[in-house]
Amino acid sequence: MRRQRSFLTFLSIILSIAFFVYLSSSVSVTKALAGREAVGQIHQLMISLVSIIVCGVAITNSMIMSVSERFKEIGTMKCLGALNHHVVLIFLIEGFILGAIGGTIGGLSGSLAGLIMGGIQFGFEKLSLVPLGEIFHHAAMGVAAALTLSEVGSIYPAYFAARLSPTEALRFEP
Amino acid sequence: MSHDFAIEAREVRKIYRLGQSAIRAVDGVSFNVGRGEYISIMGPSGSGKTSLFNMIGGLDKPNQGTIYIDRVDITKLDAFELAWLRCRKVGYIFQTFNLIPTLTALENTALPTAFAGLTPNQGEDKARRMLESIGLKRRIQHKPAQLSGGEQQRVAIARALVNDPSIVLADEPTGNLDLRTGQDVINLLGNMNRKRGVTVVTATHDLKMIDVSDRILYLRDGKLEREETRRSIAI
Repeated sequence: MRRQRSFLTFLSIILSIAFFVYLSSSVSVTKALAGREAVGQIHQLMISLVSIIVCGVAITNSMIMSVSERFKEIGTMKCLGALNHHVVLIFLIEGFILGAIGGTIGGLSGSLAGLIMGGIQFGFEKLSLVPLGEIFHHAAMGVAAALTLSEVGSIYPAYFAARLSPTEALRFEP
Repeated sequence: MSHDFAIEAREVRKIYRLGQSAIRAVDGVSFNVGRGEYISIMGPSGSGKTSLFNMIGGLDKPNQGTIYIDRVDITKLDAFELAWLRCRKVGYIFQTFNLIPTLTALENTALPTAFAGLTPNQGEDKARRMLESIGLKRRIQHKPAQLSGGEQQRVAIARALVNDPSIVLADEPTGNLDLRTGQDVINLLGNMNRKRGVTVVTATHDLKMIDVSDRILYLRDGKLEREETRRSIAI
């Protein structure tokens, strides 16, 4: 179950970041190839913002699930001498790994999708006119958003897990 | 307070409140455990073994009474100090082994060393030596699901001893094992007690544990009913 849950979180990060980066890359590609602002630019940005919020909620939900399925492990670790900050660190590291890998894959695939769609719309021979630095910047923003979201989404569950007493964590039956 | 005991419990009481009623899980229990002694706490389910155990290990605090571990009154320690105690002074062995399923035997054994501040290399070296000493050299890279119940409990024993604690608390260590592997675990605990001089306290139903115990404390309804030495019950 744990692998499936991690995989679904990972997938939601990839998809929402890819969507976010795709929309922002499309704006740059349209501007470079058509010489005009993309139609409905504000609308697109609103949609990408919603996708980011959904991503944040999915990560928080997933991390809460992760804490509840590991109550016994948390209790065991506390019995073995883990301090609260050790427990917090475990969940923040997990969130960081999910955010870093999911954000990188999502950022790269989103910018690639933006370029391909631009190529289909305006011709692939014109793609050399697209400023790649700008596209890379969008991908980097996607990675940064994924890392921020996954860390923010992990803070509450990590804090909740750290505050558990060893005995109540060990008594918990999922 | 005498200074020759690893554990000293004085008039320990633990009361749980359930709505209007109060349940006296441990009711004025006093006993001493000498350094290097092997003690078994026996009693039926609900007799207060686990509550007493949790208090000795610093997992829970009594409502009344004092518990000294190596001369320190642990009922007065804060959460940080109790975590320090659990990390360095006390080793835990659970009935259900409680190994982390995603970690190998080596990583599970090395886990407490990370909490004690050792580097990963130092921790793994120590864990490897510990696993080799209990005959699990060939199983160190196996995950818990790839190990038998007896092997899992031996990994848990290695994990309990890796930070060189002076006391090992084992809560029903043979409860989930068959007769033969249960006997192996009892022998291993007995060997560790004799060779390393570790004080061992077990909560158990297993009568085989009497063979290796120096003393047996019988709990009933939260009170210490009687105390026997191995010599006194030898037939």
